[in-house]
Amino acid sequence: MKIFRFVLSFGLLICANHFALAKTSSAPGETPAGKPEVVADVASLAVYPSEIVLEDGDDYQGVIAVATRANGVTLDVSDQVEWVVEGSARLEGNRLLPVADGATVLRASYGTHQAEAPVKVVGVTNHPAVSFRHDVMPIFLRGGCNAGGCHGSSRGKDGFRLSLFGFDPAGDYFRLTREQAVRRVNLSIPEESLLFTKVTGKVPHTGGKTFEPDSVHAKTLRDWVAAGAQSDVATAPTVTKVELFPPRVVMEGEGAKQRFIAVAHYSDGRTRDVGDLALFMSNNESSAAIDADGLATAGARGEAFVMARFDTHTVGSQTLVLPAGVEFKPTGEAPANYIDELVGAKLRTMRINPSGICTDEEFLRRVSVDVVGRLPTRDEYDVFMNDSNPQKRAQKVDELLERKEFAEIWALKWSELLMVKSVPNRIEYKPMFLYSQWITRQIASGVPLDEMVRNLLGASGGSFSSPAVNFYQIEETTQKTAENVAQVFLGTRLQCAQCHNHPFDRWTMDDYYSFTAFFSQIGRKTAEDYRETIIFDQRSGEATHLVDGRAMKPKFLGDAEPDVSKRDRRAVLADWITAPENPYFAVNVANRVWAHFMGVGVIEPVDDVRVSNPASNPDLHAKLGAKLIEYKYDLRQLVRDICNSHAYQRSSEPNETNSTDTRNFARAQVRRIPAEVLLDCLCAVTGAPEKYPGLPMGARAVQIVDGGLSTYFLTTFGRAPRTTVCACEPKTEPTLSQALHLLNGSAVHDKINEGKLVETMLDAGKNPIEVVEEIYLRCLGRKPTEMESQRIAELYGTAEKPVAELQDVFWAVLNSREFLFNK
Amino acid sequence: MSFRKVERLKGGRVLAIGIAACICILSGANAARGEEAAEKITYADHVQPIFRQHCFACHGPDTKKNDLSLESYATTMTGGASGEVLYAEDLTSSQLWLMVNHEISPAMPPGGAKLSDAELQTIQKWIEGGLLEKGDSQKRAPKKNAVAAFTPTADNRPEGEPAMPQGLLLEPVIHAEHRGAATSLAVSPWAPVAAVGAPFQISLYNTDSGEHLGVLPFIEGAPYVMQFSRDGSMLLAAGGKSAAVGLAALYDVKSGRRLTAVGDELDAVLASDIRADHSLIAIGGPRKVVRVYRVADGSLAYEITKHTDWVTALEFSPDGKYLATADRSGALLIWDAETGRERGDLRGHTEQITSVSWRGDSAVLASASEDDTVRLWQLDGQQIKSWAANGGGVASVRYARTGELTTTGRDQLVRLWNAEGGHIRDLATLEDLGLAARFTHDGARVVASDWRGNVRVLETATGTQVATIDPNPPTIAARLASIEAEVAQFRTEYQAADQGLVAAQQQVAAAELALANARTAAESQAKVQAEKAAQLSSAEQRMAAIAAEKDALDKAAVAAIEQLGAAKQELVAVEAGAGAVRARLEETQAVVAKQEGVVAESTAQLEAIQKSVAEAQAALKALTDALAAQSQGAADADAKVAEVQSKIDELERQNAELEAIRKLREEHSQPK
Repeated sequence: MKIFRFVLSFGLLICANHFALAKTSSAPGETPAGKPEVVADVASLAVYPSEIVLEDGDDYQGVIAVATRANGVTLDVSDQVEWVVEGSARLEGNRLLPVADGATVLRASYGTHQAEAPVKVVGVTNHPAVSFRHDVMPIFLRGGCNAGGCHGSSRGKDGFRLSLFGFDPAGDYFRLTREQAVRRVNLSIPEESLLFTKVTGKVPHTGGKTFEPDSVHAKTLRDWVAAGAQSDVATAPTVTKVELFPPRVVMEGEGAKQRFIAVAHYSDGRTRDVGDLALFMSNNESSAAIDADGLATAGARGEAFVMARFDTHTVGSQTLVLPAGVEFKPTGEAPANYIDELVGAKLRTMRINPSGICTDEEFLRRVSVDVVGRLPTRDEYDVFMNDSNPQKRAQKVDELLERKEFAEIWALKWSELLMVKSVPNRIEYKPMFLYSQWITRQIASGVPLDEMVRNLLGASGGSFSSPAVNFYQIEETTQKTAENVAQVFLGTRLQCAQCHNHPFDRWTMDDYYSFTAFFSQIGRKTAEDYRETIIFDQRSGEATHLVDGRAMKPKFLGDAEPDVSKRDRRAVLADWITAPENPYFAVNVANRVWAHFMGVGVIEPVDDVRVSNPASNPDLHAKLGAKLIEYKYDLRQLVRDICNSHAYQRSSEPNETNSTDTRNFARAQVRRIPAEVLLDCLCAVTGAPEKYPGLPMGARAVQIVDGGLSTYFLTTFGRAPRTTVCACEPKTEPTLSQALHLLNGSAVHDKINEGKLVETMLDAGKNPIEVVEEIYLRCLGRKPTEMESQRIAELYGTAEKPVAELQDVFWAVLNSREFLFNK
Repeated sequence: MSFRKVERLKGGRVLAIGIAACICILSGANAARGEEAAEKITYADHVQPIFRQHCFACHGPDTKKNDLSLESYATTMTGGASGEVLYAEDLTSSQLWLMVNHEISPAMPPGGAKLSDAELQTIQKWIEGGLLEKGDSQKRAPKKNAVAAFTPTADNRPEGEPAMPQGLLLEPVIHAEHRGAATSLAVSPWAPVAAVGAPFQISLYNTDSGEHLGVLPFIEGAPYVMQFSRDGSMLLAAGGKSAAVGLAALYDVKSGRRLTAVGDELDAVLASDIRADHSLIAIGGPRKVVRVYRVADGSLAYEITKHTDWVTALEFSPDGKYLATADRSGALLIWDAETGRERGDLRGHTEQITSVSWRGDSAVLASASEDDTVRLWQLDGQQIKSWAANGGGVASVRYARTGELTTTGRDQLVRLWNAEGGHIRDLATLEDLGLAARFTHDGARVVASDWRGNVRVLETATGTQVATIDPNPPTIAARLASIEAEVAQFRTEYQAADQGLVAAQQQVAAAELALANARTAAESQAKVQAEKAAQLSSAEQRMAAIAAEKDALDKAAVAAIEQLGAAKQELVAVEAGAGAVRARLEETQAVVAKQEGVVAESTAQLEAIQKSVAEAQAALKALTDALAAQSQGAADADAKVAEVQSKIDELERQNAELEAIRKLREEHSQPK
């Protein structure tokens, strides 16, 4: 019989075709050959940097000119414009060089368009010495010398170690000059320094020739040694900011080029062209690849974030790549709310049209699963479908938001993030039960999220009497606690910065250890009941820096050092996190909510916010956060906005323009239903409930308190193991064991037999057609199509009570992708 | 084994009793009674409670951090991963003490406050009292006795005169534009010769005079290690180009001739030595292999492949029996020098070993490491001694023939230690991290080099700097120019001295005039008896003035001598001038004698005149002496000019000789 079912599942035309494969080939358009002539429809011209200061005789600044066409496309016209500069500076190629102290103006003209940048020149008689900190150290990053696979490895490479990505300049200076006293630098004959002969490939080097002997980088190394290999680690100014120009690029057609320039700002007020020292990267090489010198080349249609990394700073420019020569006519759909305005604006720039609005059937199933984690019942279906009120979708959303299952879904989500889980011999079930109840109660009673976070982070007391303290019971180490807080509430992964400066973000080891200092004074003791732990502020204990053992003062991430002398450090931090001015918290929570309903976050992954992982739609990202603050952190209001937007209610059917797009919300994303909800749905449609440990018969999987308890089904379908705070823990990727479990395992087959749905309905006098319809409505939220009805009818023929056949139909429906997915 | 131990213990007890007996004899019964009366500090009663309270958490029965457990007396004495931590009656060697007393890092207990003074005192007394276990325990025998029993033996003294370089080339292979470190340093064991290495060359200097003796080309790269043969007749220089070429070359010290070269490494040689009988040369480096070659035919005698990290130090024992090799991970091994068979694995160092040195009797090996310690080892692998010598890491350790040691390292100090590791004195603080410190042949001086390129010669007794050595000697052309400038300077000074002489002559003339005046006054006194007294007193005053002027003349003459380069003609002139002065003075004497007769009746006044004459004679004598000295100075200057001239001649000759080879080397030293 099973084989028959197997065949049947293929025979049925249930699976719709909208689990479509992403089309990989998009029309590349014509590649413009040779230099473009002066383009007619240029709307504006800009020169970057918009302000130039040259501060010594060796200083220089690369300049570019960018023309913007009427349709928003930008052109790198640096080589086409006519440059004019007189007096204090002169232009050599694309570089502006100092001539004499004074001020002048750099002018560019392109057709009828003009642009200019003021130029200030000072100190042309100064020729500063090579700086170890700012000239030599960046070379190791740019050359990849201090990468993890090379000398940046903790054991070094071939006997020589550098700090990973240069987090320890003083240590690197020591190892270069004095560790093996006379080996690596040769003060008397700089060219004979091993440092120089290795990087230029004059002697065998595992890493090969890193720089040409006559390159500017090799020369810098040579000159530094020649000047006595001095260190300025202690005295050098710090880099305060790095800018990347142009800030936004829209390239049209494969092969279009754009040169980027990076400018560093130092704490002593100086600026400097760091195009030769910065590391250029792109987060999407296939759309916009960038070479070592900052020249980006357009590839396939799409979006890339082009970045420059210098010192501990990473900055990026949004780069769009559009196909050349494609006509684009936006559909004139009126936006439902602010979400549609912002999503629509981005889509128009990308020349993408959204898919249409989904059917009422699709909407009802989608919104029910998303908001309350249940499939619509037959009655709900009938009521909704027969309702002729044009506002019925909004009404449905409101109705669902008031149900207790909404709170359970979000309690589950928070329980996953907060790792609510008993651990044998360490974390007892009872405090976890209380903790879970506390979380559910907070959401059910509508406690604003900011208040909930303040209650959680600042909590003190016993793990029975104040269950929120369990946050500090589950994770006991200071550093991990700090990392978890950053990841859960700020969406930032600090882990890297424990051992080295974050390679793709702004966080340094100083930031990391200053942040951990907020959690260095947590005291723990066992209460009278051994299962209870008391968390208290012991008002002593410091976080020390890994490299030099400094005691670090508590400092907010990227913000001030607060006064913590009078208060519990954690409470001070909680206030900062939940303050409306905090740039991370509200947007991060809002993005998590958004990702729940849209399948993908505006920033994705939602808990990996960093400079090099920007929002696909920054305006939307900011607006969602602002709205959450405006709503006083009321989750329901934000969900209402999202569910009422057209962006949420789109069909998953792609059109020609949006078929390759997954990040701009032009169509609905088809999503596997999460493990707990799926099992609940399976139980509900078959009428065969599960029994979970510690819960009454009929309780739902989303209500399981303890992450330590699981069933085979839940584990197989990717229930979060709650061992980390990562939002990636619940898995919805398909696996072979999932398919086999549904096909051959106990879940579907046994439940059909247990629930006796088919028998009951047939016994109640329903004919097979009605039974099939009921099965379809329960499971898929729609009636069977003509073809489906016809083919199913062929199965049971004229039998009056074809129990086995209808059970097979039921089985096939439950095994269909349409059941497993929310489309 | 246990029987033996007992025997040894007994021996120790006998010794201890013997010592106690001595003390009794020397210091009398009072002291003996006092010692008995003092409370015995023991592990069981006093020290263990302290350890239990402060240390057991990490160094106790459950966790043995760094393999150190203080839980029982036995484990405490065994020590931890880095060897023994306590030495009886020797605070400065006891690592445990240095850590709890916060003298070295890491300070213990970690992170927390120091132990209380009372507790520290207890531990101190316990160590000083011989590390007693229980009340009835015997003192542990202090280990330093092993070191104290040092008697220098056969010392590889050369037959005949020790080798001194003679007539070597003086033109450097290359004179680098910038100042750089001396890549290596060696001092002859029998002659006042130091060799300093720099890229492409070795410069030899006289450690007594600081004189530059010559240059040995090392055109394969930089000599990273140098050793004189044990008899001082040969210099071994090994090195090469990092990550490219490595070899060892042997030079004849006297002639500077390169005798042979062995090795063809893929990286520079970092450690090398030649056996005392000149039969074997060992080399090692970043390729982790020690290769030992036969000097006679350059063939490979054997390879040592046991090291797992860069070979950073090696040395043959003075008696030629053993070879000690050490690496960057702290491994130290002893081999049979003839066969390459392993003889010992000396475990203790935790970081790179930078330097090894055998004591003259081949019985003790000293090793220096980046782990801050110098350790002394017996041939059986026993560590005799370990002490923190240079904070941050020791770069070099060397035995003197007397058994003293000198070290230098990252704390920039050049330090002197006695055979037991006791600190004698610090000789100098260098400008940057110290690279090497070596005793001169007689042990009277220490040559020390630092990372900035300073090489200093220091008095062992006082630390006074007596000379500096330039690893980057100037070219002959530059030296010629500087000598020419020196000669010009002499000339100027000579002219100034000449002018001084003229002034002196003028002063002599003035004195003559004054004497004439005095004579006139005496004559007029004979004529005018009544005015005699007044006139005589006036003459007296004038004589006093002359005396003062003569003093001034003395001083001027002395100044002239100091400045004078000298020249014969001028001397003749001076002598002639002085002859005139002498004649005139004799005249004066005659006049005075004549005056004596004239003023016979006025005895008192005559005596005054006689006194003046005596003073004039004294002045004359001083002037004569001065002239004699001037004459000597002129002769010296003459000799120096001649010497310089001959040196210039020699240099010019060698310069011409070197022209061809120099061009070749300059090409080599100036890469594109």
